[in-house]
Amino acid sequence: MSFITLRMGWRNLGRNMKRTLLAIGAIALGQLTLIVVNSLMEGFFQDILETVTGPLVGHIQIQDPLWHDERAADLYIDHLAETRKAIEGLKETVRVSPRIVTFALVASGEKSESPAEAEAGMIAGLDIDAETKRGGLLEGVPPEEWPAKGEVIIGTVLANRLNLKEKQLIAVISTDVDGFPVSELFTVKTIVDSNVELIKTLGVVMPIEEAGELLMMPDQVHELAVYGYDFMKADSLKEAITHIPALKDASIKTWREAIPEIVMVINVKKWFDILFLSIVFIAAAAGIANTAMMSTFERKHEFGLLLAMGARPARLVNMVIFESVILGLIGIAVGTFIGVAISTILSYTGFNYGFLGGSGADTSITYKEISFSLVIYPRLKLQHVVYGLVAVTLTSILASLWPALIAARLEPVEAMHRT
Amino acid sequence: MKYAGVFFVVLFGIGLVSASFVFSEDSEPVLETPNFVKDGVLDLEGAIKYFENLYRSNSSVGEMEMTVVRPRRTQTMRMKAWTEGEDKSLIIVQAPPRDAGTATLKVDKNLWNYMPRIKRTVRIPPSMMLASWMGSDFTNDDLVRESSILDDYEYECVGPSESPEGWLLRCDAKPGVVGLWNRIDLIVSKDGTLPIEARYFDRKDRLSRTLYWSDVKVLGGRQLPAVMRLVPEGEPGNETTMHYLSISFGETLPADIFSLSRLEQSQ
Repeated sequence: MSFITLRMGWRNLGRNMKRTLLAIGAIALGQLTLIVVNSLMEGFFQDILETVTGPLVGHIQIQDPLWHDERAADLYIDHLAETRKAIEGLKETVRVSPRIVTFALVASGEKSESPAEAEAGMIAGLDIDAETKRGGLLEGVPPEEWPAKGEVIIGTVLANRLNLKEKQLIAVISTDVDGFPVSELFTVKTIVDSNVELIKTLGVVMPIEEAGELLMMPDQVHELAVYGYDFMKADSLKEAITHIPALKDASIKTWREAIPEIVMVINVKKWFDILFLSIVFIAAAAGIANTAMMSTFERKHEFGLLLAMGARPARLVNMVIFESVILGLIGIAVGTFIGVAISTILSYTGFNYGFLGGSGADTSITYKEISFSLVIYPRLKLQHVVYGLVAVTLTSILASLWPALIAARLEPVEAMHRT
Repeated sequence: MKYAGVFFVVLFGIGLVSASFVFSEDSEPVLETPNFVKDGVLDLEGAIKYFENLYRSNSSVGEMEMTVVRPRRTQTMRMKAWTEGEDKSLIIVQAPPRDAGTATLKVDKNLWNYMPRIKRTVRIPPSMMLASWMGSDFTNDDLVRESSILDDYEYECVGPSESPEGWLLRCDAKPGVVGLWNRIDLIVSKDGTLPIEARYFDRKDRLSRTLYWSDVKVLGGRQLPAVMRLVPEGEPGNETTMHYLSISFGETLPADIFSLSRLEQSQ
């Protein structure tokens, strides 16, 4: 393509500035919508995935097959020490979090004139060291706040309900693994505001050894949450764990299997991406085709003159296509600039979509005992820009082919005569 | 006549018991031979009224052993219980030493538990009423719930029962009655006086648990089944047996026995 052809194409864009600007605006709007919405969706779904595979579910869940439906204390995984060692020995494993979980009655253990009102609570016997690491149930709790023997961590909601403060006593009444009553007094070491709803509202967290002693489960747990290097590779981790003989009768589930509803929602995102890309594609195609078509018909006389002067039809085709591609690229550049700017700002400020649904000041919702944030922090990926760029460039070429071919097939005399 | 759930049926043996007696004003039994079967037909209303009246007692003091069987472990508790009317009761565990002093106080619909190990009394919230009582197959709700077959159920005699032998009475909860059991199938003895078996069906009409009575003997001047066994459905290896050692009716009880302070002195 010669320089003159390019120059002519470029200058033609300025002939009808309003139309050109409208076309650029439409393409830019499509691109910025694509970038902002896709980065918001990416942030939203990444947050869901990290929440799901984080504290509560882990990458792999190992439980008694009946635990999910019955949650009875005697549905446990036996031989904890041996099993844990075997899982930790796998090359795919990063961390194993054993958990004892059973419901209890809890009340203030402080002496008072009238009996304390008991509330429903949940004993969570945890490996405190493992759970305070990134993605654990107690992520971020510093070592000086870890419970020692005779101490517990409780959630903020439970603490408020029982009117308990740190260093005060809490009475825990439950039944052991065989269903016989047990009771104990503990000192509240720390009160935590966990993003795991169960911990926040019901949790009475104690070291797993202490829970095992209280509930007569010295080498048993109700659940093992296993973490690998990448939650997207949970299937290979599961495959490796399945071969451990001690777990032959256990239920071993990846996070996808443990919460299939979430996976279904995530799958919807893929279709959402395609839908948005299609909208941008159609909007760009319509805008560019319209501009190119109008421009071609307006310049029939000029095209006829060029052909009469010896210009080859291919040159006209190149010129029309070039105009369209330039139009599309300018639109993409403008849209990308604005879209990236909006996404970047939102990635710092966050976007609370709870307001859209009328949730007021709430910043999280709880589903299946997991607290999901209502504040989205967009995650911009290069592919969000590239998708639009490729789609609009292809669209520009395809949409301008028809008017370009019309221009190329003009009879010079007839074109000049009719004009 | 209201009665306080299946638990007091079990605990005090004054429900669904042998009907060889009628009672005088002070609840002392007077031997008489009731007859609820005439010409091969059960006098249903008479039998149920008689059965409901068996709960009447101004006061009682009883000692019993409760054996809780679980797949891996069996535990027996010895306990003593005091009741006054239908609304007040106190149960104190006497053995084994680990649980001795554990006590439950019921006044109206309120329930308190005292745990000697931590020396604390807590009030059981309504949300925990379906939780197990003392690790048995009975629930807290069994202690506080009041229902009456005469008032809350529509009842009919289905006919003779072959296994076990007796009469099968079907009691369906009346529409609008709030309760745990949608239906109770009660089997009484051939003379219509002794309870033998009761099957409890939940709100979805699924069999939830079965109560068996056996070992009829005279306790506190009344002829009562001394052993009652509760078997939850769908939990193989689990059951709770209540064995009455002694029971006396019409006792004069200390005025403060059903108080929180007395509860905490249970040891």
